[in-house]
Amino acid sequence: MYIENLIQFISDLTYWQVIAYFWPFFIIDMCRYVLLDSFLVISYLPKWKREKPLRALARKQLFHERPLVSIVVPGKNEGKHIPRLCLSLTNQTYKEIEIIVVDDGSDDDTSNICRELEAKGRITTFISNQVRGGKASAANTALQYANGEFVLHIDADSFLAKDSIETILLPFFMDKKIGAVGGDVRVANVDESLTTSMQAIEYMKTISTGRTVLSMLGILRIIAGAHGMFRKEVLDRLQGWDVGPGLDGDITLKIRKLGYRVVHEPHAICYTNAPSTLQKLARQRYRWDRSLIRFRVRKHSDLLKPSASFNFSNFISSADNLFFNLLLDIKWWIYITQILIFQASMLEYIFVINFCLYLFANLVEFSVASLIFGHTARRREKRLLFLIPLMPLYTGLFIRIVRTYAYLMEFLHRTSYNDRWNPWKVSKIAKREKL
Amino acid sequence: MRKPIQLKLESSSSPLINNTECRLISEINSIKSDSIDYWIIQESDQDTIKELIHAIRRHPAPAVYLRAIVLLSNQNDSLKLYVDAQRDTNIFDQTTSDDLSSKFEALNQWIEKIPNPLEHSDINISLKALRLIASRDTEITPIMTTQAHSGYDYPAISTMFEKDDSALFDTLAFLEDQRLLSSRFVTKTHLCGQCNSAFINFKETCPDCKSENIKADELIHHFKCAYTGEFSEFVFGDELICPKCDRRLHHIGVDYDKPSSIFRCGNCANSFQEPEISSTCFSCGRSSKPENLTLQTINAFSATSIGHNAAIYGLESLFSNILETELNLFTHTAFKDFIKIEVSRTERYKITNSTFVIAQFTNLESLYVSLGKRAEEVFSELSAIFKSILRQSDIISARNESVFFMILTETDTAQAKIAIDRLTSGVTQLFENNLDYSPKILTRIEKIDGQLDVEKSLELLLENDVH
Repeated sequence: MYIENLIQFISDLTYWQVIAYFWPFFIIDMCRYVLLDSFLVISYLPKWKREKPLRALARKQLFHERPLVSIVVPGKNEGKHIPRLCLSLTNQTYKEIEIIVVDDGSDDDTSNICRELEAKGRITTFISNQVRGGKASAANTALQYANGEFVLHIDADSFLAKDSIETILLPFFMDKKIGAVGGDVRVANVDESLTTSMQAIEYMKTISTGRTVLSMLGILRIIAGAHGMFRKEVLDRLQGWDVGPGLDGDITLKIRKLGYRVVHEPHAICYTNAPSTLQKLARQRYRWDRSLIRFRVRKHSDLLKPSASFNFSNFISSADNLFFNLLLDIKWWIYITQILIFQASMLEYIFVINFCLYLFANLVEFSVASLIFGHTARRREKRLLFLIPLMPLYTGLFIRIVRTYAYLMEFLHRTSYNDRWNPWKVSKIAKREKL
Repeated sequence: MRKPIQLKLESSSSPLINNTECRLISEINSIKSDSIDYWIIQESDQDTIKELIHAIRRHPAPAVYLRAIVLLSNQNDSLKLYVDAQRDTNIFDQTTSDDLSSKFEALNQWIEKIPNPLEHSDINISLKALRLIASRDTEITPIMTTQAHSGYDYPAISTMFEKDDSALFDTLAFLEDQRLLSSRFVTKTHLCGQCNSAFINFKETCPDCKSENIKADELIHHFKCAYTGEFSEFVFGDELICPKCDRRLHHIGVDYDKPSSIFRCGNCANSFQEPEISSTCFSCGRSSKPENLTLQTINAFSATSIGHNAAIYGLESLFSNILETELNLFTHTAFKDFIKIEVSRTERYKITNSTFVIAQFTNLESLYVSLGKRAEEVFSELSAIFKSILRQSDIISARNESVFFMILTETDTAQAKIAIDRLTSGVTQLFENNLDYSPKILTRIEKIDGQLDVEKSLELLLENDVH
């Protein structure tokens, strides 16, 4: 009966009604995330093939010059993950590396584990800070003792695919104006829970596909802290990272402001542990999403203003981010209000049709990602196809609610300054100085 | 009639007081030993004092080296620890002398208990040390000193040793192993693994190039910009200025902190937090890691009751010594090697059995103490019983004075039980018939195979005894 009514409802819809009832999907999300992303990602494939000789040349140059890569690993209470990370670094195809681990005031056995690894030569330099200073200070401590021409920032609970360092270095040898390269980030603990499985799909969409697209458009705005390679001279000019949270996005914008290009290299793969429960995930996203307001709206608002240092791609990068994340988030609530007021009687049909539309969009995005990056995906990542029907609920409801709450709290109360992610003494200064 | 004898190195002088006598060190052998009450040393030169103490303590006659030494000096002499008493030269009079005579009366009587103390010569340094300790009936305690190679000295007995080497510690360890001395933990010390010297220079070095040219610097974290660098980077005149944001640092804990410190090598530029510790011996110059040094336990020692008896009657009267003479008593290490060989042999051919036996005599020490010199005769009888049940091919070792390990080759456990029953009944008869004393003998018999653990078996035997 319901199905018949639903079919009847769909067949009765006029073009204008389709637009009026489903404008967020047809006007925005389908254009931006289905059509544009699919077009660009598919066009990435011939580009990638076209650049094969260039990459071969870059690889030759890389192995001829053999520049030292300093891998900086800041972290607190991450000792249990470090041996796996060190093993993945030791097994890299590119061997000219030094590993610098900075313990940011751990209160577990991290220090003992790392000292042992240092004694065995698995870690080049281990620095144990007795007093916690926050992730930026730990990364800056590591930077002080980095001797490499390139610096790879990696999260302690991550590990790399065997050819990751070699692959992420290639763009630097293909374009001297590249200041930083973001590596692909995949979920290591895909099978741990439904929450991690959903994030694995999300990472494929937003990082593997999303950042490749932004990189192709020249407007990549974030080099993930979990996996990012920088020219050391660039980090030296900036004198390291500023106070977080959101320090990875912040430094990416600062690198762009220096005139360097930042790109994404989807074939350099890093696996990281994702939050395993909805509660932990909500906490993580609450922290991440607030940084949009703190850094893009406040700290780097100059990117949107006409000035002597105005740069169009930087403007687009910031505008795209603000439009599609912030304004379209508002759009969603406007749409819900519209439906509740004007189409409340049709809510059951509109909801189901929206669900199907976004399911279709997710299937297209997943298929495109699989087409391009499928050969690098593990079997368990391919099995995620069966969870695609849950994605409209995951991104459309859960992620959106957390994001909206984060934006509101940051706009109204600057709550990122009270986040326990930073020590209170650092947050106090950051708040006072409006950093 | 005994009297105090003042000993001089070169020229003798008039007696200090009436009843004392002054003799030259060269005449020490001609002094009638039973006439010595105690020795007096009165010299200003420290080396001379030491030489005189050495001459007395290294003398082989118990009646000479065991006598008390009194040092007369006007100051609080550091050598007083090496003698039995120190008195002020100015107030040494007849009363003081009489007091000292009474003080050492018990010691002199103890010396007289030694069979033939005048003619007897103690060549065995272990016996000399034991006698010196037992005769004072007190605990000898170590002192920390730069004068001793090992950093610790036992002034009460060290003067009888010729060289400043490990002989002193080896002797004490031997006497403790024989249960003639009991020990009390005092401290531990690191000694050079090569020459046993305590004088070791510990140095912090670069873990990479081993250079000692390393320098520590504190790290500073500026809260505002998250910049972290070495202290020296922040110093501008009298102020601390952040090199990243040019802000002045005001108060530690408020706008900056010092999360840690770090070493930098002046030779290879390596940065590290934990320098490698290396040690160099001042004596032999050997460099090594601290974990390769010898960790020596320093104990205080006192004579056990069996030690007291052995001190009087000599080490020859100990049961293990008698057994060693009568039977071929193997060392514990050699015994363990024999066990290994026997395990391999029996497991390879799988046609014969050998048996391991532990026998423990309880109350043997009290018997030894109560019998005194007569213990030697009883132990000879006991040894004869052992000899009667053991064959030439059997192996015996003494764990200590009352625990004996045996390997009965080509003997299964049933046959071993018969032999051990014979031993037990022979020993019981010997004691009950002659001494009206009933010893307790604990035994454990085990087949020798790969599962055998000698120490574990002993533990089980002792546990069963407790239960």
